Amino acid sequence: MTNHRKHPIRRRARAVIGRGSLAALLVALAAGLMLAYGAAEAEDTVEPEPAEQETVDVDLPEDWFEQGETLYLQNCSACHQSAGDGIPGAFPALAGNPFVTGHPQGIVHLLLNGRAGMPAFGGLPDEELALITSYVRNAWENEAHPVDADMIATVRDGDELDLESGGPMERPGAGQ
Amino acid sequence: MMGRDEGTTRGIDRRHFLRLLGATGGTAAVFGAMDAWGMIAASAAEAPPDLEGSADGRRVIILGAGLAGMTAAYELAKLGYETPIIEARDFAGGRCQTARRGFVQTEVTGRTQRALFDEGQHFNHGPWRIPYHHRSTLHYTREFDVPLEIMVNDNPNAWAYREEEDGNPFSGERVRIRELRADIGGYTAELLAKAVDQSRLDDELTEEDRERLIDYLVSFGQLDRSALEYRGTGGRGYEEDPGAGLNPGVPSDPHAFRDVLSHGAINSFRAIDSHTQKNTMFQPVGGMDQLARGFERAVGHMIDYGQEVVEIRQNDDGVRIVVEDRGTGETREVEGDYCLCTIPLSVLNQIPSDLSPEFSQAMNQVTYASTGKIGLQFGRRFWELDDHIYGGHTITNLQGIGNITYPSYGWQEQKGVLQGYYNFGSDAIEVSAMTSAERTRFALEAGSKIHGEAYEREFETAFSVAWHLIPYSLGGWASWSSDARQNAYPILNEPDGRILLAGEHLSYMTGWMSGAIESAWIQMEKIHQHAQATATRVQEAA
Repeated sequence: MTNHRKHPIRRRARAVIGRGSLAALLVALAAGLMLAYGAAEAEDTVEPEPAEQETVDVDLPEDWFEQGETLYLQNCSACHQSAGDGIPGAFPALAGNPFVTGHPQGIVHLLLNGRAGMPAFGGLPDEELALITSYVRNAWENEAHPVDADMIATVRDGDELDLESGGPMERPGAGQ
Repeated sequence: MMGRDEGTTRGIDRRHFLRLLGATGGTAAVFGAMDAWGMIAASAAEAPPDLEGSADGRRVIILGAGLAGMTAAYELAKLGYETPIIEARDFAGGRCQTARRGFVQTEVTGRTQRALFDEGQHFNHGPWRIPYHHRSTLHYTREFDVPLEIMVNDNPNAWAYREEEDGNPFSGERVRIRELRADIGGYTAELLAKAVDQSRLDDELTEEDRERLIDYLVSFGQLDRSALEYRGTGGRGYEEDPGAGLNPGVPSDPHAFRDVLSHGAINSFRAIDSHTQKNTMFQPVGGMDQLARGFERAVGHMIDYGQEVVEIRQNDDGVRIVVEDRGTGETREVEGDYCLCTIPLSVLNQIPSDLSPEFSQAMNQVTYASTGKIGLQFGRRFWELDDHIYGGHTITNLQGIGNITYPSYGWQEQKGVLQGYYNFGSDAIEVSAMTSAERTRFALEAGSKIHGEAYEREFETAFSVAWHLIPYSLGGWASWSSDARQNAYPILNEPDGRILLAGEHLSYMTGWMSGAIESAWIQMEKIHQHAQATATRVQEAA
């Protein structure tokens, strides 16, 4: 497998998030969701508007990609396959899937709660879910900003991730 | 503890009493009491709905020849409905399967296994237990003359094994469940009996209550009557069993209370008293698929095998199902007045259909359980011969293993197939990523920790399943969050146009065969009522 490390590896990874319009992000999210799980005839894919870039700190270990890969192989690869290409008719591909690389709210919510047959992984600790999420958003040809445990906790608590910064919102004491 | 006044009030209303029980005894107590009154049946129904009227030439297309589909076909056909069943697999039964010699299974990954068990050996890799209160399942085992035998679901003589458990002196060492069970019960009874005896619970108890409770605790914990002390009991086993002649046996000493308390297995002992696990537990003689074969004898002629559903269409007048023959790849259309779809939602949500957006949304709310099992055939029943274990479960905390279950068939025969693991969730997913050979190795290494080298030496062949990787199933059973139960589940129980769903997923007995059967009963009644109502309207109009 080829490892595409898109983000500089440092103690606190600098993440990049698009600052597109809320509406465009939500539309992209919905389109990705339909592709990933559910409607079999999602014909229109909606590209999010090209966006200004803003960097956000996320708190991840230096070897987040490697740790994330290990956890992915344990918890996800049986269905979505180690190359992230899924199994047609059974499990969606994660590589090149706009839902996976879109706004993190959707994929984190999916991991925590399951959907459309996919089991919930909410039993895993936030740190591990953050590593898995960050890995699938950056493995293969995917490229999207990583996610840290505080962001997982935000979604777990039923709060919305701040679409402007991608960081936790209305969560006192969240590490920024 | 229940207050004396409330508990003994005459004429206390039933609901209030149940609420009290719930508050004091937990839901298990409530369910027990409700069952005794017959307020809720253990499973909701015990016989198919008693329907009248005729089908008037109506045609119900049934998708899936699992227990739900075959139940509906069997009952609807009695009323005169035409009930063709579309089945993707080459056999009937859905998840109600048994692996025996020659059984072939291909996962969605393409990994294929062929069961190589000896003739006469088998392994229920799907459903494997029929509780006595699943009366709908027992209705059909009776109806189709499927002989039953006891499935030993509790065996105190099996082992408890914990690994890497903090403070547990038995960590890495097998202990008989009976020893732990007797000891924890005895010591707990002793503590409580002494507290009662020393009047520490007088606020809760009358003098008469105290005496009765102490009598119960002496009996429950096998205490010394005068000292109210637990000193061991024959029930935990003997150092040397009593025998003939001048051999009275050598009693065993209890483990220290603190040691027993540190053994995590004690927290799973009461599982046997949970609703679905209680004795009497049954299994069909010869494998669970004998139940599927029973249905098949009745409705097999209606089943079109090897036909994959590729589209589900409907309009105001009827349904149109597009199916693809797996052999030839050719597609054709099957038309009818109604569709009863028993395809698991994990699969159905990927099939193009005319289901309403609301319905599709609701389907997406359900998740499916990842779960796996492995059957291991051994050339010698060392668990019976060496350990005197006949059926039941050895309980472990070995990750990915869970329980090891000994066969409840073929007692004292030479060979047997035991269940080497039964795993769930992320454990099941992790193990399922292994090749079949790796899964076998994983199971053997774990079992050897408990049964020693016999587990490796006597091993002959294995067959494993990972239900989330099985085509047309994609999961063990539906798993509803409380949110989805509230918001999505009721929608899916209603017809969507002329399409209705049925299966274990539309029950509160998910993963149990009774859930599938009773769901079919409920949904077929709706179809029949609709057909009758519309037939009447047509007649009135004419």
